[in-house]
Amino acid sequence: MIYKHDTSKPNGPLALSEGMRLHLEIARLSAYEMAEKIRKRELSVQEVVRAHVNLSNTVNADLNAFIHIGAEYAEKRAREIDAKLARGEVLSPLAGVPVAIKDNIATNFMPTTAASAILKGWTPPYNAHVSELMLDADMVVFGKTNLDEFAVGGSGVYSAYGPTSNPWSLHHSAGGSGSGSAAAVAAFCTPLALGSDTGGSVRQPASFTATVGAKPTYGAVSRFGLLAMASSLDHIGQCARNVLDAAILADVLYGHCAKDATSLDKEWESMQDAALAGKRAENAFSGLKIGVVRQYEADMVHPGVWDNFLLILQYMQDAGAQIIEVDAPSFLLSVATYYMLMSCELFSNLARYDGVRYGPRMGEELSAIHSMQKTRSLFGPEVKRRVLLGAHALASDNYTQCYAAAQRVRMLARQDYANAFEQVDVIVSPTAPVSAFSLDAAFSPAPPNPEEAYRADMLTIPANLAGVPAISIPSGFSEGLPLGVQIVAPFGLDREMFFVASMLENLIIDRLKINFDLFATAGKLTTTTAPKGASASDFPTGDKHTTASKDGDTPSK
Amino acid sequence: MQKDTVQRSTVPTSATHSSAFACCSGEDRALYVKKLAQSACIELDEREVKEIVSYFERLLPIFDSLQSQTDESAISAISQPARESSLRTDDVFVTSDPQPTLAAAARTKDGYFSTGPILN
Repeated sequence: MIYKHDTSKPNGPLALSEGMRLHLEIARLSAYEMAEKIRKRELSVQEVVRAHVNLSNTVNADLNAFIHIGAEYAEKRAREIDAKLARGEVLSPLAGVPVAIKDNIATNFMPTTAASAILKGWTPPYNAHVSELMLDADMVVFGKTNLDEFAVGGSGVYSAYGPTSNPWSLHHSAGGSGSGSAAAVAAFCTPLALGSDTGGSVRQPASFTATVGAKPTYGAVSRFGLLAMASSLDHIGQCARNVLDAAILADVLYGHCAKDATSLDKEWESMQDAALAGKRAENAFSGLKIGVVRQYEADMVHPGVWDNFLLILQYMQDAGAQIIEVDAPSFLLSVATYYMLMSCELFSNLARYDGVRYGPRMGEELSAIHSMQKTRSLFGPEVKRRVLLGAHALASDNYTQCYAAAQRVRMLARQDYANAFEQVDVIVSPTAPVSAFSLDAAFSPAPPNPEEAYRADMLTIPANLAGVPAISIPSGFSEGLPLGVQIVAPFGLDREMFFVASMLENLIIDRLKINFDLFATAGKLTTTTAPKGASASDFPTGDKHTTASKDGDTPSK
Repeated sequence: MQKDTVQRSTVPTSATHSSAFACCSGEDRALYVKKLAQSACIELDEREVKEIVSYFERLLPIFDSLQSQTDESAISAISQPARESSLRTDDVFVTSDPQPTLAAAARTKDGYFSTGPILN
């Protein structure tokens, strides 16, 4: 069964009751402001959490950004943290702030499905390292967000729980694979969310939804407990509505983890300080060397995206930055390299979903092999395609031509970055070559032009190949849909990335006269008359799940 | 970031989309996909087989560029952006001075512990 997008559904704005509007007053605060009000006891954690849970439950019918909303769990956590505050305990900077987690990151207190029918109802017996860190920081994890199955996809449509809509236009994709986290942050359901970024899955959805998406240096944030897609490319990143919030969450997440063999044994200085310094810096663009990749040409991206990018470059130049072209010829091979490496690693990583180690055991009357085949038939269409691509590439006849060649091009990408960063401080580009595409265009049994669909990741992939930090921030609009600009910094210099991103965020808001935080008042979230009996203190008492289709394909609505 | 010396080929070799898939056609391609599916333990119906044949036909040629535009002999392959640490305990070497321990032994012989027989 293939999902068909319901085009008869009104295309926003999302309607909110009067009660919900009161919740929105709280939800519009940044994580930084929210944490401060909680510390000063101007807001209780319960009020804050209630506002976000109620908003999420309300708009999720339109957005499908959450697979699971744990209202009861969140209420209990909120009470516990309020009690700590009442006792005068000194808590972490983000204590009491709600956060949502992409559903491919393990939580032992909520189901973790990776948006796959094969893991329907599975609750891991352990927490991912990042989940544990956020609990230790007294943050309130209240929901698990939707994604392309096992993070395989760039549109959010390949989910067994149905596609996510973009809050800016319900008929458009919120990007992928981290569609739910980006949509939830954009629609004020949560100020912060976690995502995973293998080829741009945090940054591209950020670009599509006018939010901030950051990917750390490879090894800076532990992947222990992330359901692996392509281990050498996977990163865990942050989604937020501004750079400072993303940086504060980074301070919670960064650090060495003995359970992750790729974790860097390094002390990280404060990202929040770097973002604040960028926010307060005056004339800091003066002397900054901004790199632009010579190989990225106007005809590779949508004209509206290119025009916006040139405008941002002009702003930076006017502010004193030096724009320098850098050579990175290997980036033109990055899509082929990425899809080769990713599919090979995916083939290996998903082998564990066989009904013996993970997943339901099906057809027990059959032989072991046939039983495994039955279980694995629960995979969705895009996962099957890419696993088979991996099987093809790893076949002995093709190994040298495909996998080994891709590993060599990966070396070239790393070399191109190293050469470029000898000349410039950071590299900027559009985050994605297009703005959000329509959901109708994304739905198809197979991408009619897979090479075209996959090229949508071409600007984000190189950073994953080399493991360098990258961030997408909102940069304007094209035909009413948001755009993003990407900043890439040298390996390990995540503070520089946050510093420049924070400065650029200020510059864009100042020049374009757009406050992306005021999305709620820009007409997208409107208010309607409250239904009789509803009030602002309404609080759902049960946890809510979105239901997966039985056959693993995305369901019809 | 570590700087490596790499070379690029100036004359791309001809694109060689010469996998077993590319060398066959029609029914054989469907058989090839079915064989792959078997190795991946995935059941496909005929419609899915047809879709994946079409998917491969469109996608595989883009991978030719990987080999044709790089001079393999001069470039080392990397599998990770950063070096992995080892989690295997038998890879962890701890040096220590054996003398205090030996001094505490009831009996020693040639610098080793000397123990009584375990089995009589």
